[in-house]
Amino acid sequence: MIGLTNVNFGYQKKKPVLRDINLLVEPGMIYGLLGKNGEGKTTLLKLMSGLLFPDSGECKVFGEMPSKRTASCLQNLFLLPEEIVLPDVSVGEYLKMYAPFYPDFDENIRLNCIESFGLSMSDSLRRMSLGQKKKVAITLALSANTPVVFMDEPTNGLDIPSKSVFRKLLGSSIRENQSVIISTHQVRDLESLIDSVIILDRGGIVLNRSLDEIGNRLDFRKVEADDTVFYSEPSPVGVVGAVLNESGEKRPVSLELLFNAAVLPGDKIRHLFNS
Amino acid sequence: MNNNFSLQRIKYLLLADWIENRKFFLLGAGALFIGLIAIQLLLGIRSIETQLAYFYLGGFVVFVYYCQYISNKVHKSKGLFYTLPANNLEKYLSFLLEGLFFFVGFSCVFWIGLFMLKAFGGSFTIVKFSQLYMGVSDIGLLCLVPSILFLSHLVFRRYAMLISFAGISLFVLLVGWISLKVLLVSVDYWSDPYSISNSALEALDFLMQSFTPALLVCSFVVLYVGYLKFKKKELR
Repeated sequence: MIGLTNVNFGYQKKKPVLRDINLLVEPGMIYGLLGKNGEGKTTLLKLMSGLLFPDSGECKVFGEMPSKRTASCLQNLFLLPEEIVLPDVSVGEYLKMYAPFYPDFDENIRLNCIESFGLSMSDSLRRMSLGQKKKVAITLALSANTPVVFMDEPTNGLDIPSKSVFRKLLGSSIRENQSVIISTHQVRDLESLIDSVIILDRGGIVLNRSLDEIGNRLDFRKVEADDTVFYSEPSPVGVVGAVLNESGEKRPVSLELLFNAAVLPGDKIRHLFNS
Repeated sequence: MNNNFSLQRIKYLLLADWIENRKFFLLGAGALFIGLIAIQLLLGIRSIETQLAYFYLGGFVVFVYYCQYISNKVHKSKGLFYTLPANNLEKYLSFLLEGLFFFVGFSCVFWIGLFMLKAFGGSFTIVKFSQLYMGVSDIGLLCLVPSILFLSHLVFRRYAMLISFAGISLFVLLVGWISLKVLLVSVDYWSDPYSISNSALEALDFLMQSFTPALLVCSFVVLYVGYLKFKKKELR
């Protein structure tokens, strides 16, 4: 569906942001894209949506290069950016402006989103808060019903109840063969939704695995003396961390602990999953 | 939907821009109309030449606003415009069509304004559309200068006007320099002012005749360069 091969990119010549990125995005998965500030999460999303062109390497979406920005390629993807710029029109007019571009635009999803977020089609976008504008933008992103959806910090600006609504809408709107890549720092908002995680660190992908695979290899709990520990940190309940899962049963994954383990120097996590 | 060139997608692009900006366009038309009334009241609109001067001035202001409008779409859209499912060519053609609509809209407001002013007591002959080019010495230049302004706003996020005026000035200097060179070759001032070589005259004559077509071709080249630049635009 989406394939990146040896992609390199930098905003300046001698400062690459992404180095030798190899990534395959499968259909039907919700990916969490994690990384520290400035690691290139937004850059990666922009490369996959055709807003940036790789310095070298190849990026393809459904066999086409997004950098060509052809209609057939762009119909297959939707980018929800972190910073939302909305025109001075009503909600209804905004959706009417862009719906015709997406052949699979789903009216039912639109109605569901409008109702769930408590929006009104006649509300003026100019008078809305950031959070409300975000809801409108999410409505368009989900209703466009494209095979691939990129979301950059979609829960930024949403209040707590709206985050829950977003999770429900995402879970109910996404079709089996749709892929979603969500770049986020708010891992707890999306822990229950994500199927697979991509972690960026030091310009590259240090981990790209499904949560099932991770849960089979790692356990996230209170550390005991005889554990093989990949990462540990103090917590109110004692020392918790990511340890080798020797039970043979799949364990629930803590994205926060996983992320901290993955970005530690020494690449223990990378070596574990590549071995 | 056809994934090759599609007039329908151009229609959707134009419709989206109309929905987004119709309030500003209508307000702008109103402002132009009020401006015309103010000019009639304060300065008076009498001769054809005066009307043409106001047309050119208003047209220039509208064109600059159009260039800024395009610049905002290209440089400040935060990605939604670039990821809209339409080909680069369709988006670029929608830009050019919008420029045409701006011109048509301005012309309509201008002439409707003149007719209304005349109906309410104005004593002047309304300029005809066919008289528009009366004051214009060269249609080629009339096409090239706006093309350069358009390209400049497409390419440069800041100082587009400054850069385009610098480019136009450079062009005028270059043409002036070439013309002077040819003139000096064809007329020998220091010996016999009436001694003019036939081949030099022919060259000068050829240049003068080719000037307008050359500028028209240059305008198309500039617009094509604009398309190439737009295709390569990244959102950094």
